[in-house]
Amino acid sequence: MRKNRKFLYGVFNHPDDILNAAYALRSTSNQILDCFTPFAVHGLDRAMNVKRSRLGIVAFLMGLTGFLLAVSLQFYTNVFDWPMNIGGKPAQLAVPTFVPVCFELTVLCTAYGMGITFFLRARTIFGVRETVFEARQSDDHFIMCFDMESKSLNIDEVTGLMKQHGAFDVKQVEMLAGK
Amino acid sequence: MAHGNHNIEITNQQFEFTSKQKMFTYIMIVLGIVLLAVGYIMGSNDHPASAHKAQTEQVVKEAGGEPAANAEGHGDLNTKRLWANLLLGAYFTFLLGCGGLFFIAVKNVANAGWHVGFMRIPEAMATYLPLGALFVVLIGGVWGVSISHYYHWSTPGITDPSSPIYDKILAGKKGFLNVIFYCGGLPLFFAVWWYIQRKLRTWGISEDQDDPGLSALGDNTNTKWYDKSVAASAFWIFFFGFTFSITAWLVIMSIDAHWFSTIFSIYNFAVLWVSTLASIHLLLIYLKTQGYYKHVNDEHKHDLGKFMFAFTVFWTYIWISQYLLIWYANFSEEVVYYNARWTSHYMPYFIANLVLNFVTPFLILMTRNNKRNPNTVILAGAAILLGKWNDLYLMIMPGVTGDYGSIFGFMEFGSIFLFFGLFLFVFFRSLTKANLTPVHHPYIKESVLHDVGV
Repeated sequence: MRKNRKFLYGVFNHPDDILNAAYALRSTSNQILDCFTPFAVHGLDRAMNVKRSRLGIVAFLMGLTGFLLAVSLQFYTNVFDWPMNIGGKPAQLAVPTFVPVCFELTVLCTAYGMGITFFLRARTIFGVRETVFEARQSDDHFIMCFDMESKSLNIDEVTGLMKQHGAFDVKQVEMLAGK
Repeated sequence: MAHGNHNIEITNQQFEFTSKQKMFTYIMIVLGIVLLAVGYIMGSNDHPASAHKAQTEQVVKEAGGEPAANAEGHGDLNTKRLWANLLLGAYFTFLLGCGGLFFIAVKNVANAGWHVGFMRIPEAMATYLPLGALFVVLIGGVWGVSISHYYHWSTPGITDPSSPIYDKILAGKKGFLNVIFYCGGLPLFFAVWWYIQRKLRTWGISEDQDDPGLSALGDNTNTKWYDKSVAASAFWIFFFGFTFSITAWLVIMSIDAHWFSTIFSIYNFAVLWVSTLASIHLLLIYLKTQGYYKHVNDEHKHDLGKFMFAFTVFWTYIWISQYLLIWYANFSEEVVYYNARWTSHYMPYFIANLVLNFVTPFLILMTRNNKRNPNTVILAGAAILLGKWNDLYLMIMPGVTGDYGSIFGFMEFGSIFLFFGLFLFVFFRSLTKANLTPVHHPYIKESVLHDVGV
């Protein structure tokens, strides 16, 4: 649901600065909404108290789907519906022949399922408008943003902490953004 | 992880080879020799050779291939078994030496930095390379080919058309399977590997001793030594790809000289790489319990665990690729290899192979917590090392001794103790010769700050 939302954001020049600011904000009640960095800043997820991704569970479920798909496909075609004698191999459940298809379909479903889930969850899939605060957030600037509607947000404290840790600009903005 | 602190100091630790560790390696070596002797004497007192031999020959002949693997009887089966076990131990530890060098080389070429904190471990493993290569050539080439002709293709007269034991197929392979290639060609390859290993090692130590005035990590902007290492590593990986294949064909695959598999060398490489990763991880965990490598934390161990997990699957992929095509095509000259390992007393080993090498580490190392927990990693690493030993046992033993070697005995333990004692001795001795952490490596800071995320 895209609607007009108010954000507070700080712009940093250096990955260390945004990392330090995130650590400093941990001891306050202010919840960082998100950070936008041109590359992965190591340790930032820990500093922001990001919970561990559940993508692994998705991967397992997708893999299981692929595996079961492969087994049922082969079982139905090769054992149940139309058993064939290929090279004198046992027509009922020739297990080694099942292995490659099971492997490939498991990998295929896991990879695609994980990829699509990730893009959906990260709101970077085709058709979703990206949230852009500054054009340079994908170049050489680091953005840390807060939800102004959050009741626990202390604007003065956040502004002060961000400036203290090297934010050269702190702005408030109202823009269309997805939840 | 300490965030933001970019002036991390690493105390320049030096490994101390304590008398306790020395004693441990000596005991392993002596115990190995004793067990080999006991196993050998017990085996020769049993006189099981004739009965087993007849049975084996029958089984092999029924299987339709490789009749002369046992028929010619150069040396009795007990001595052959001793030789096969020594070859296995020598080859296994030799693979670990190669693997240590490969680890360093592949990280150099990839410009990787996360491993730098503990890169002295694979480096020290690689210093076993010359000794391991010497043992492989001595046991395989000198004893196995030249003196006792344990390799079927090295039987005198087998490529001679006028001889009664003339073998047309082996005669066709004599351009490759011959003494000169084994005792002259292989040492030549190994010499090049050793040269590169020496160079990488000395350059790494020179880099460490450069500019001793540097204090903060990552201050070293002099990448002279590193650039050289990258170039040498790139050359070596290229060279190693071909020469390791030839090594695997000559040392292991030519035991079953009529049989061949085009995937065999990458299969051996999978054995090398997985067991190397497991060894690095286990040695790292051991050194951490001794108080070294404080800056190597769960993040690095997590990545090593990922590697172990990933290449466990890689090994299985290669294993099934070799098995599946042979099973499917069902040509007698190919199937004989698996016949001797499945429809024989080796069947338990064959099943254990998959359980130890795939099922156990795959299930143990699947979750994130298990990759970061030393106890579960030790369990998985032990399964991998045991499984790789079992894998090599299945490659070597049926071809050399037939079913005779299928009963586990003292010799099997002896060979492993002897060679792993030697390996550990060389490893620990090399560790003492350099700083435990290459503090002037260009990527040391990246390694210390390594973080795989939440």
